[in-house]
Amino acid sequence: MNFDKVGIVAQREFLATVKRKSYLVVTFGMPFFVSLYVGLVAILPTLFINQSSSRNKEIGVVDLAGVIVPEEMERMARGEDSDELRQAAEKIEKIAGPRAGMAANLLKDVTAPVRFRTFAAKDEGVKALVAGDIERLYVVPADWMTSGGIESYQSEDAGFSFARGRTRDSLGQLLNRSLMAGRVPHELRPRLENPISNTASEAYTVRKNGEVSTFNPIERVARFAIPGIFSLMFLLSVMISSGYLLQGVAEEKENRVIEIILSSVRPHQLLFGKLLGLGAAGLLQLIVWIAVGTMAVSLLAAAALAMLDFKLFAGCLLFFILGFLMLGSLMTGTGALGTNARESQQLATIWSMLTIMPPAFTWMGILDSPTGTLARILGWFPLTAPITMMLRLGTGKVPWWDVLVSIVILCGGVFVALRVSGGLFRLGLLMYGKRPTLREVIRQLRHA
Amino acid sequence: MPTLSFVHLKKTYTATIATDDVSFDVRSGEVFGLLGPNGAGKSTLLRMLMDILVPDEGSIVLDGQPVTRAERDRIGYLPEERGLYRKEKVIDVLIYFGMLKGLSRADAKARALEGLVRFELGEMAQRRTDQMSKGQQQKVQIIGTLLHEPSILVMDEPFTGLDPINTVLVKDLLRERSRKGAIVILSTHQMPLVEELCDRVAMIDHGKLVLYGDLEEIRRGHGEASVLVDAAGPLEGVPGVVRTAPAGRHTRAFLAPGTRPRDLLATLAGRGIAVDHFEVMRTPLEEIFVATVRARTGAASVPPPVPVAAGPGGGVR
Repeated sequence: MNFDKVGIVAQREFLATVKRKSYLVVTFGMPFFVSLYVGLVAILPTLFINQSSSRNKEIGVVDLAGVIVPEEMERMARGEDSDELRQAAEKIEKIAGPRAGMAANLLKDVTAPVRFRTFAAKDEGVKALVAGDIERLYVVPADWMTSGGIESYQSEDAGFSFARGRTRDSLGQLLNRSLMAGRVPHELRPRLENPISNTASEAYTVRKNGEVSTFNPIERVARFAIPGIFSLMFLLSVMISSGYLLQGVAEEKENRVIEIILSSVRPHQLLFGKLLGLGAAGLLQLIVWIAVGTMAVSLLAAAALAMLDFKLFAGCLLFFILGFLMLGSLMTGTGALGTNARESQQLATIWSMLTIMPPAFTWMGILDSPTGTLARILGWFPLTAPITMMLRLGTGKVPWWDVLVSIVILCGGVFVALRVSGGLFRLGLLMYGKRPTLREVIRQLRHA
Repeated sequence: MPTLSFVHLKKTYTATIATDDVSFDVRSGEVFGLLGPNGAGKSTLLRMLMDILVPDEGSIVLDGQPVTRAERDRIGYLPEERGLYRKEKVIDVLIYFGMLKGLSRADAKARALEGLVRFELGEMAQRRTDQMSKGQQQKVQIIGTLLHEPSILVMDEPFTGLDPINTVLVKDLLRERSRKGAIVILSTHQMPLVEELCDRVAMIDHGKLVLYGDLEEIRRGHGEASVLVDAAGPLEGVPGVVRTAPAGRHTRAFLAPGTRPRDLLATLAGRGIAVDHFEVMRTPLEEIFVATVRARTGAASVPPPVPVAAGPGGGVR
């Protein structure tokens, strides 16, 4: 292949695309609109939650079993013996300050101490519920000690609240503590309530050579985040770039400039050059979005992850590039057969479906058994290989030869895809306003 | 003297035969006319030359050797279906075309500017192509075809959309290229231009080569000899005249085989018929073209009309 011409095509396609007004507007306007949108979405619920938090949070309790100890109830209302979740929430608020927005408010809402109010009889409690004095009413029946069942009442217009599950847990805790009160020594109580403390626990990783090291949760995250980020980038860049590719092809067909170009370059050179140039334009757009937009953190995170596990990063990058060339060329080749942009897009979608669907439906199986038959078949089949192999690499359990087989097959796939698509491209590009018949397509494929 | 040969070329689409065993040669230093009605297969032939289409059978050779990639880069091709990138500067489009033909950016730019000046578009270099008239765009396409000074120049209907002044400019250009030893192929159905420019022609109809050879010889082999006469008496019944037909202010007299124009003139003088105008008619190519196509469509199974043998590999195949 004459790479000089591929380079000339790639350069032109890149420059012609990035200089377009529509490209600039989308590239730089998108982060602005997304920020605006995210801002609105984040601020509105925060206001709403603030309102809901200020609402009456008292929970009514009717203790027919006579087990609740009032002192324990008061201690809970004061927030003593606070649990780990609440400790974490307090820590976050201390670091992030009151402007932490929706997340802090949510945590506050979820972890705020539940205040109980006792009623002598169920009727009184129901009246208070109807009057809106309490948010919920629990009745602990007389046979609670033997049955363990409780009754729960709420008004019919009760809205959704994150705190609902928590009030039930708090009632359980109150009953638990009331049972322990006076019977269990005070120092045993934290362990009885929380036998394994997460904050005080340690985890270790035992390596194959027997070396023991402290379990590093970030390393663990990296193993899944790198393939995850790459898979996402892969999908996004293919979607963005294929849009440009199909648009470019449709324009050249419409402008009637294609025959002049094809008299100077071979169809697969043109296709390859377009892929490189427009792929670069698409990737640049993606990077701008990530860097300028609210996702700036994730770019830094990706860089940090690259340092954490370079081999995995490089592997994912390789599958990303090969996958892009494969899918991009097939989409463009098929897209060239369409008579207009919409038809081209529809034809091209077939390939993205074939690439994305199988791993999307089976990713749990792939992660669960990365050397299993399913994972291996999807990892070696060129279309599904990019995403599958990124996922498999993340598990760190795939032997090197397995990865090599996949790379070799995928390289072969890219070569075939470029030839075949070049042929389809040639066939489709010269058909102005009409679609080639299936027989013509098959004949062209035989030539390729 | 390099010769480009189309050898037994066959190309079929699903239902139609685009070219059927077509062979002819084009020599350097001549302007070669490729003629034929719409859909005859001319563009298919040219696309096969450019390797845009692959022939089912046959080949295209340059001096007996298959045309290489590098030699294809020496071809300047102006297709019938042509256009320019819209919303891009004229100079940028031309530089791109030039670079694809192997020129450096600087060379491409210099030659593009030179070409623009020659076609009186010097100030248009920085303009966007979609801000130009159709004729101006046409000129830019022609400049793009000539940037790399092609040794083989292939132009498919280059005169469509050009005003008379620019038509002259392009005609001069074609002549200039052929004088410099280039192989020039002009595909068109504007017969007067072919008569004016071409030394030899090939005519394709329904994918088949029906006429091929030296233009003068084709003329001689086809059509009846005739003269334009403005005479004081009737020409019907005059010995040597087969029939007559009005032709503007004159009468066109078709001569019997073997009768020379001077014989008729002598007969008229002998009969005392005063003659104000006497002009020997060359059979217009258009007439030969129409007659040939009609003869073929009228009798599809009958072999093509009078074969004309001329030049290497000449004649109808």
